[in-house]
Amino acid sequence: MSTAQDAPPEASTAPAVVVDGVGKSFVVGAGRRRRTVEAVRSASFTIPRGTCLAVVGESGSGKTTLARMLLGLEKADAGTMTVNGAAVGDRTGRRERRRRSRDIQMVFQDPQSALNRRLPVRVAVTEVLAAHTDLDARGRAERCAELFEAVGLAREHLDALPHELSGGQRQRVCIARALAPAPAVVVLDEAVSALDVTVQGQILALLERLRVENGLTYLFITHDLAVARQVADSIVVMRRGEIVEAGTADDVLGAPQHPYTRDLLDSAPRPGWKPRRRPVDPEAVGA
Amino acid sequence: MLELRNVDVTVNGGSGDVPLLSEVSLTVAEGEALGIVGESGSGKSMTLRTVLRMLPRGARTTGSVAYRGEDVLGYGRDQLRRFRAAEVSMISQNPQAALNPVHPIRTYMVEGIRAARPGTGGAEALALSRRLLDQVGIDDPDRCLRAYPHQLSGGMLQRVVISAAVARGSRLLLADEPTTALDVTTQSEVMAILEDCRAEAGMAMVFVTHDLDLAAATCDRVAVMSRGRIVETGPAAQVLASPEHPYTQMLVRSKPSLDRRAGSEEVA
Repeated sequence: MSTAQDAPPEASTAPAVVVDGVGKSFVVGAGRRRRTVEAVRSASFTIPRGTCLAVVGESGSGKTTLARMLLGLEKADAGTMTVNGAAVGDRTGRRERRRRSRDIQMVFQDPQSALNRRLPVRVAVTEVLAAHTDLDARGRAERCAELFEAVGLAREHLDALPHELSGGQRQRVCIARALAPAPAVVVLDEAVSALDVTVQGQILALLERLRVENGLTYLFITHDLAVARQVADSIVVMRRGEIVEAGTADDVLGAPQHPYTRDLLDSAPRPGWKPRRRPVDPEAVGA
Repeated sequence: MLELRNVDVTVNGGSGDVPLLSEVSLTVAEGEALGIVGESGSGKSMTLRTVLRMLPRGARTTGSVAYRGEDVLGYGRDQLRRFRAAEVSMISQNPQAALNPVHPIRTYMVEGIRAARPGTGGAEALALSRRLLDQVGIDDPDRCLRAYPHQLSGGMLQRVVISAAVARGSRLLLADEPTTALDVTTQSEVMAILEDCRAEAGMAMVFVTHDLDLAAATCDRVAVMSRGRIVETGPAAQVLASPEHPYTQMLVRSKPSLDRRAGSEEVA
């Protein structure tokens, strides 16, 4: 992965995402158990425009905290981040939010809880269009129908309530919503992890088509190495807040250098695989 | 030891009967591990719940469920209670649900043992718990016994419920996606512990999972379910390597591979 641009930065060639030395700590617990947890420690990487970077790691490795900082939902303690050419978090306010909505959007793991269960699913999209574009009601309805078509939903799905759709269809609605402001970067946080394997394959293929068609840049968070293999050009492996390995998908999964990456690969069930007991990791023991 | 023959389960859903299971037949031998694989709503969990007779209110079951020659569907209240306490154990995706949050782990372990074997003394049950927690790789069993469920991680709780199943002397373990919520490294560890415990206690298992590879790696035979039916049964390695039913073939094809990158819709 490139760390610096040699050529003068130009909108079309500069990386879509630059993360440089970013850190974040949280204070957890109370009283005697109060302590500081470093959720992310000096993370650095770039994502070239139009490519997909997968962030892999287990629970608590800092994947989601990293994404939340990129979206400006969490303030970094250290380091700098640039998304689509703009520094993250140095300005606030309505105009800034609107501008940022065209830089970066997010799709979550559970589409059921990401949609209002009392409203027809089209509202999820038209609401975003109302907040972030100057389209009138009719323009919003047209754009919404276009987005539904782009994610493979039919017109009759526009007026459906979330529970009337399948999990895969609901996730398509969430993807349409994320695409509504025409963002440069989309963060997908375990976006296919709750789906059955056949549906998962369909959504991954959809995401790939949308990326190619729209020149999108993806930050794809997943705990599943096989899913990362399907979507990613490059991969960073996180463990307890630190990036332990980074490189092209072929290198990281084909010739892993860090013992933790190898451990992750060895733990994934596959033909001929056997589960194994391991020495207890003293840092991982809870309570 | 367990045989389901032509089991149908239906519930009344407003506009007529809705079948949950159709003509489900399966057998599990003593000490054997049978995997049940399928997607959401295929009837995997419902099959386990049929064995325990923990079905939704109003569900009707036909066919037969035999456990060591006894008719489970014909069990009276006391027989059913004994069956659930001493013969079968169930572990689920969410072990927290099996544990009372206001009691320490000790209460859960000791109550389980004494329900399975009435007459066991408290001290004896406690000693057994301590020994089995140690066997599932818990470093400080005494500290674990004092802990409350919320103080333990998901992997630790899953070990606790596994050791409780062994402590009760269960002969059949019904496992419903026990490792789905766990990280892969923890999954590997918990599955290895489960295999050790089963081997030592000679415990049979029905293992429900959506993960074909995991089932193949840990079970002797697998049954593939779709829409309430078993569409294919066979030795685990064979079903995975040369699936016969179109649905199984689709499952195998859909599985993301570590070896190649996927195409987009047009290419695929």
